[in-house]
Amino acid sequence: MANLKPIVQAKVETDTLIALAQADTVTQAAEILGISRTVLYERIAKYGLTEKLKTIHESALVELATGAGKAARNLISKIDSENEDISIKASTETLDRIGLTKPNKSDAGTINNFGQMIVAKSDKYAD
Amino acid sequence: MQTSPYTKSALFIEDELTIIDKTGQEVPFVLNDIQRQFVTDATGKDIILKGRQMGFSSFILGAFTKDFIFKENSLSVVIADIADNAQDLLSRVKHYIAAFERANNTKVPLKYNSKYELQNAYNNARYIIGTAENTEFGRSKTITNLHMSEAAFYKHFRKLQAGAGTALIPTGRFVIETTANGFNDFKTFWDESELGETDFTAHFYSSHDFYPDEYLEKEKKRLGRLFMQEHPKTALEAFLTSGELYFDQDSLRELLKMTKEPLKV
Repeated sequence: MANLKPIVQAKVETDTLIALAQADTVTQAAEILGISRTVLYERIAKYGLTEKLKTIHESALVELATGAGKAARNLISKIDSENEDISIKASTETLDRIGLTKPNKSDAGTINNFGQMIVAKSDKYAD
Repeated sequence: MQTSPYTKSALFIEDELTIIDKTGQEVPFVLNDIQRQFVTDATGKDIILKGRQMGFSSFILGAFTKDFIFKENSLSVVIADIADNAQDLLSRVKHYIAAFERANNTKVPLKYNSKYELQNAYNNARYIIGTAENTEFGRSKTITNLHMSEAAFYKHFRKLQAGAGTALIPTGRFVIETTANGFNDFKTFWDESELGETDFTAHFYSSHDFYPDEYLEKEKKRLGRLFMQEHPKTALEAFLTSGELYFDQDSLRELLKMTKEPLKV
């Protein structure tokens, strides 16, 4: 009879990795998987998911970088839109991207990396 | 080798936090020799009797900040002697959180950020600073870390120590830290702890063991007769020279020198 253990483990690892990549926080990832955060942390340690997650993010950044030029051209083209709302929004977004507008204190992107940062450092500082 | 309950906290503090130095500059928080000694000595239930300005509060607040950021559902409680000091302690905690955010380009999501309480929205950890004026403080809570700051100056030291201590979880850290304030309830508790009659470990830290002679000479000139009170050499000297004194300090000092060890205790 085939040994199912490695197959099951691989599935658990993949599902956990996908949930972590989709979620903004560890709590959300645990909810997606229907497990407690404690179990999720155990899986992260067991499968070395912190490193794997970093690799995924890096790959995603490369993918995004290849589309960045196209996205920028699209955004800039909207500045000339006849619709005033779209034009103002595109102008603001463009200025935001190059750092000429005041950053929002509660910037969601910044907040969202808190969970990932905690996961990355929790082993180091665990008592 | 037994690991100190503050080993990882020390690592966190030096890796992530900054402090404002005496010139007003923000600098990395590097532990001083006294703080390092405490990391080695600490048992988890500790009483610290000390001279002035040794940096214990800064260290303990930083240690508890680690749990506020990393430990889910943890509750860190700091009790100050008076309201002004409570606000100062909380502002130091807020500085640490800001330093951590800058170091990691992140934002600690706060559910509450009030005058006396912080709550981490991500992991439900809380950090509360209260005052010793409220003797019910800490009761009916489950406390992970407890710091009684300047405890010898509390009017109801025993009541607070017993009440808040009951709420501490078994693996929790409890540190009572203070300069001396004469012969009072705290002194009795210190004596009992030194005799092993409580589950606390008593630690006395003298400036004379850590600071260079030149610094102490300067302090002697600056403080005059208050020098012994601010920088006592022994625990007994700390208690004798503090509080409301009936006897003359200089006479006490001379008599102390002549005191002989008892033949039998």
